[in-house]
Amino acid sequence: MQETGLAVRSPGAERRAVVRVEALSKAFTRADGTVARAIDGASLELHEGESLVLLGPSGCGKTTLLRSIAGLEQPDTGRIEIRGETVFSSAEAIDVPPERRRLAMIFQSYALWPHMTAFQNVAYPLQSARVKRREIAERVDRVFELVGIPELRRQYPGQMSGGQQQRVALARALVGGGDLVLFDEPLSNVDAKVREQLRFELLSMQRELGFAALYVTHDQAEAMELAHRIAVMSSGTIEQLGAPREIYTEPRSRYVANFVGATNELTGTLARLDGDVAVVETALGEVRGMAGVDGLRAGDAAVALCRPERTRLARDEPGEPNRWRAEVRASAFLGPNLEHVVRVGEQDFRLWSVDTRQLDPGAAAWLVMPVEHVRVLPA
Amino acid sequence: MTATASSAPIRRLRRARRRLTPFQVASALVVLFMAALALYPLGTVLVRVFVSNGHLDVSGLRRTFDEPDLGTVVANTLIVVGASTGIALLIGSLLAWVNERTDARMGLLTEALPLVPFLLPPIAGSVAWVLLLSPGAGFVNAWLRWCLAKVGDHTFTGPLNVYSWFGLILVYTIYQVPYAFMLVSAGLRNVDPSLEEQSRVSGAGLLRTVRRVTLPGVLPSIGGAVLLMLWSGFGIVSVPLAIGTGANIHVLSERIVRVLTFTYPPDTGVAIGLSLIMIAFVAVAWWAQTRILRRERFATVGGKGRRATPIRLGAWRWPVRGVVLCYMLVTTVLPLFALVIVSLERFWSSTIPWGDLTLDAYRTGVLHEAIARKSLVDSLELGGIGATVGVVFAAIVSLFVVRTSPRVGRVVDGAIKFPATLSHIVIAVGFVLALGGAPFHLGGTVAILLLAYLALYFPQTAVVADAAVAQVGRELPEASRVAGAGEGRTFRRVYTPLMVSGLAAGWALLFVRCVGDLTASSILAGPKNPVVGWKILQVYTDGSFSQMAALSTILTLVSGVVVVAVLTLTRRRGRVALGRRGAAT
Repeated sequence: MQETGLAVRSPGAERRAVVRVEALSKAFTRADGTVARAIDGASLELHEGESLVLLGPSGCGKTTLLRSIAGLEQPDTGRIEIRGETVFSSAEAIDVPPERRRLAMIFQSYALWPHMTAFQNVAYPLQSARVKRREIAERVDRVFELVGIPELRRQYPGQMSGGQQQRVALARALVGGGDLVLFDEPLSNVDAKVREQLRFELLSMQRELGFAALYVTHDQAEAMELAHRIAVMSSGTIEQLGAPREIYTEPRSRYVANFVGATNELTGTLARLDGDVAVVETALGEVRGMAGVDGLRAGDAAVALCRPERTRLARDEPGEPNRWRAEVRASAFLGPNLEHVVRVGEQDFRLWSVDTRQLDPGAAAWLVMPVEHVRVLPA
Repeated sequence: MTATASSAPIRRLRRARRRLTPFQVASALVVLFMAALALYPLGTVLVRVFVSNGHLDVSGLRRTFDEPDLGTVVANTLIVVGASTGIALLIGSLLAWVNERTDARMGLLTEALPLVPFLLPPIAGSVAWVLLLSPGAGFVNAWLRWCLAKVGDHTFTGPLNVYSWFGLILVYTIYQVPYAFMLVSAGLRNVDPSLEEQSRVSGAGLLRTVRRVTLPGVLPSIGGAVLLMLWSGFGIVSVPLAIGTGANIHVLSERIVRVLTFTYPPDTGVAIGLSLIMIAFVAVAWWAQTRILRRERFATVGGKGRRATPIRLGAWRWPVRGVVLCYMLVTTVLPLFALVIVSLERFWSSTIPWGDLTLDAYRTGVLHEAIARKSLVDSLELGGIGATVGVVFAAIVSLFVVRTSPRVGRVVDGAIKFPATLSHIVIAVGFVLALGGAPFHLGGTVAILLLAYLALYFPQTAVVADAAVAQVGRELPEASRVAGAGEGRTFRRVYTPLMVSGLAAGWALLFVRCVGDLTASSILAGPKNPVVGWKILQVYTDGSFSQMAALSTILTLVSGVVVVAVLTLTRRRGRVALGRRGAAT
C-alpha cells in the first residue's frame, strides 16, 4: 500500500500528450444486419508517464479503442495522434500501420510466439528495428533482469507458467525502451494470488520507468490500484474520466457509481435544491444528499446513492436526517469487515462495518446515510 | 452500443487506406488466379448448355434426354451412391464411436487405420478388389471355393462376384467410410463429454445416452458426412469404370467419361447435359444439409478439449476389437496383398505360384515401357508441383480471407471453393471445354492436368490451410506487427513456422490426390500426357493384370511412403518447437 502516495501525485495536464484521441467512432455490422457501435465518439488524452485505465464491462468498446490506437483496428471516423504525429485520421485518409506507430502492447493471451524461446521472443522487436546483434543480446539480458526472470531465457512459452509468460510478455514490451505501452487485460489469465503480485510489480515498473500506460480492464479494483486516471466506458462512450478517488466518491452518473463499487440506491423525484444539498422524495420519505451534477431540476427523476461502507447502523435514534428504523435480516463475516443486510419497508440495504460484532437476524436498529456521503444523480 | 438501421448512419468520409505492400499485391493476384481457375471452367459448362458456336443451341440437352437408358443410369447412380452412403455412415460412425468413446480403442491403430483407404488411390483400390473378388480368378473366391470343397461343394466360379451390385456398392462403401469416420470423430471430440456423463449420472443407460445425448450432438457432423459422401459418390469415376462396366451397371460419372473419351467424335453436348443432372443432385443434397443444420442448434461447442473417460465394454471389449481389426484388415491389407502378389506373378491366377514370383512386370511393364514410365514420372512431377503450389496458394488465400473484410472474405472464399464442391467430373468437363481448344489449346498437355488438379483439390487443401491459419490465431501475428515487424516479416517469422506442420499434412493429402487422380485424368490425359491413373485404366482394359498391379503397387507405395514421411517429420519438428502449448493459447 506504500504505492498509494505515488498514485495520488498524478502527472499534471501540463505534460506532453503521448496519445490524443479525438471523436473516434467505429461501428460493426452484425451478421443479422444491425449496426453495433463499438466506439461512439470517444476522446481522451494520455500524458507522458501517466497510467490511464479504460474501465468498463465486456462489450463497452474499451478493447476496440485500445486496438484502434495500436493500429490493429481501423476506426470509421475520428483522429488519433501519437507523440503529436497523426497516425489515424478519417478526414485526411491517414492510417499508419501498427509496425510504424512505435508502441508496445501486452495482449490478453500474452501472444508469445510458441516456436520461439523467451530470448527470441524478447529480441524480436529489436530485430525488427534492425538493432545490432551484440546490442540486442545486452538489452535483452538487461530487461530479463529487470522483470526478474533471467533463468527463463532458453525456455519455450509452452514450458512456462502463466505468471512467467506474463513476465516474458512484459519484457518484450519493455525491451524497446519506448514511452508507450498498451495493456489489453493482461492479468485476466492468471490466478488471484499471482495476479495481485503481478499487479504490484507492474505498478512499480510503470512508476519507475515512467512510460505512459494505457490499460484495459473490467476489474475495478485493478483499475483503482493501477491508474492515475480512470476512464469509465459504457456503450462506446467515455462516461467519466478522472482520478480513482474522484470516480469512486464523486461519480457523475448512476452507471459509473454502480460500476466502480457497491451502492445503496433510493429512487424518487427531486423535490428541491438547498444550495449544494438536493432533496429527493422517495418511497421512504425525503432523502438529502449532495447534488452530483449541475442542472438538476425539481420534478426530475433522481436517485440518491450511498456506499455500503458509508452507510451506518445505530442502536439509538440519531439526530440527523436520512435515518430510518430498520430490521436486521442477515449479517455475514467477510474477513476484513462484516456485511449486514437490513430492511426498511420493502427495500434491502447493505452495510460494511469494521465493527466485528455480529447482529442477530430480526434485531431492530437505525439506518443512517450521512448527508455528506449521499450523492443525488439523475435516475 | 447497439443502433438499429433507423438511427443516423455513421458518416463515412474517405475510407482511410494503407498503402498496398508487395505482399498484399501478390496475395491478391493469387486469389484472382485461383478464383478464375475455379469459376471459368464451370461458367463455360453452364454457358455451353445453351450456347454452342455463338448460337442458342440446346440440342445437346435434347440428345441427353433422348438417351434411351438415361432413366436407368440415373436410377443406378442413386442406388449405388445412396446405398454406399448409408452403409458407410453406419460403419464409419461405429468405428468413430469405438475409437472416441470406448476402451476398445487401440491408439494410433484405430485412430489412423480407418483413413488408410484414402491413401490407396481409388483406381488401384478398385482393380485390387477385382483381383480379390472376380468370379474366376479372384483370390477370395479361390479361398472360399477351397473351403466349400472341404464340405463337398465343388464349383469353378464364385461364390462372390465383384461384377455385380454387391461388388460395386462394396467398393464404393470402402471409399466412403473414411469420410464418415473423420467427420463423426471430429463431431464426437467436440461434444462435451460431461454432457454424456451428466446423462449417465441422471440414470440413463448407455444406449439411452447414445440415443438422447450423443447422437443429437453429432447430428451436424453426420449431416456433413452424408453430404460429403453423396458428393464424392456422385463424382467417383474409377470404381464404375473398373467394376461397373463388367457388371453392366452404368452410372452418371462413368457415362460422362465414356461419351467424352470412348466415343468418337466426343459428344460434349451430352456430357454437358449429364453434368447438369449431376449438379442438380449435388445441389439438392447441399440444400437438404443446410436445412438440417439450420434446424439443429449447434449445442455442441463447449468442454475444454477434455477427452471422454472411455466407456468400459467389459467382456465385449475384445470381440469389438476383433471386428474392428477384421474390418481394417479386409479393407486395407487384403487389397494391398492382392496388388503385390499379382504384380509378382507372370499372369494373374487364383493359385499363388510361390516358387515362381518374379519382378518381370516391373521390368518389362514399367521400366521398359515408354508410356508407363513416362506416366509414372509425369504423375510424380505433377504431384510434387501441384501439391507445393496448391499448399502455398491455399495458405495465401486463407490468410487473405481472414484478414480482409468479412464480406469480401466470404465472397472470395465461396468463389474459390464452391465450384469444385459441385462435382469433380463436371469441373473436368469444364476444363476440356474451356482450356482444351482455342484460345488456350492446352488439350493433351501436362499443364491442363496441373491446372485441373489445382482447381479440383484446392477446396480440400484450403480446409487444411484454414485450420492452420486458425490455429495461429489473431494475437500472435498482431503482436508481431506491434513489435515493429511488417507484413512480410510477420508472414516469414510467425505465420510460416506455426503453420508448417498443418500445411505439411495438406501437402501430403494433395500429393496423394494428384498422383492417384483419375477423375480429371480420365478425361484430360492421353497418350501425349499420360499419368499413372490413366495408364492403369488403359492397361486394365487391355487385360495385362501383372503390369497393372505393378503400376498400382508403385503408386500405392509412393503415396504411402510420402505421407508417412511427411507426417512423422513435421510431427517431430512440431513437438520440439511447440512443446506443450501452455495457458497462453
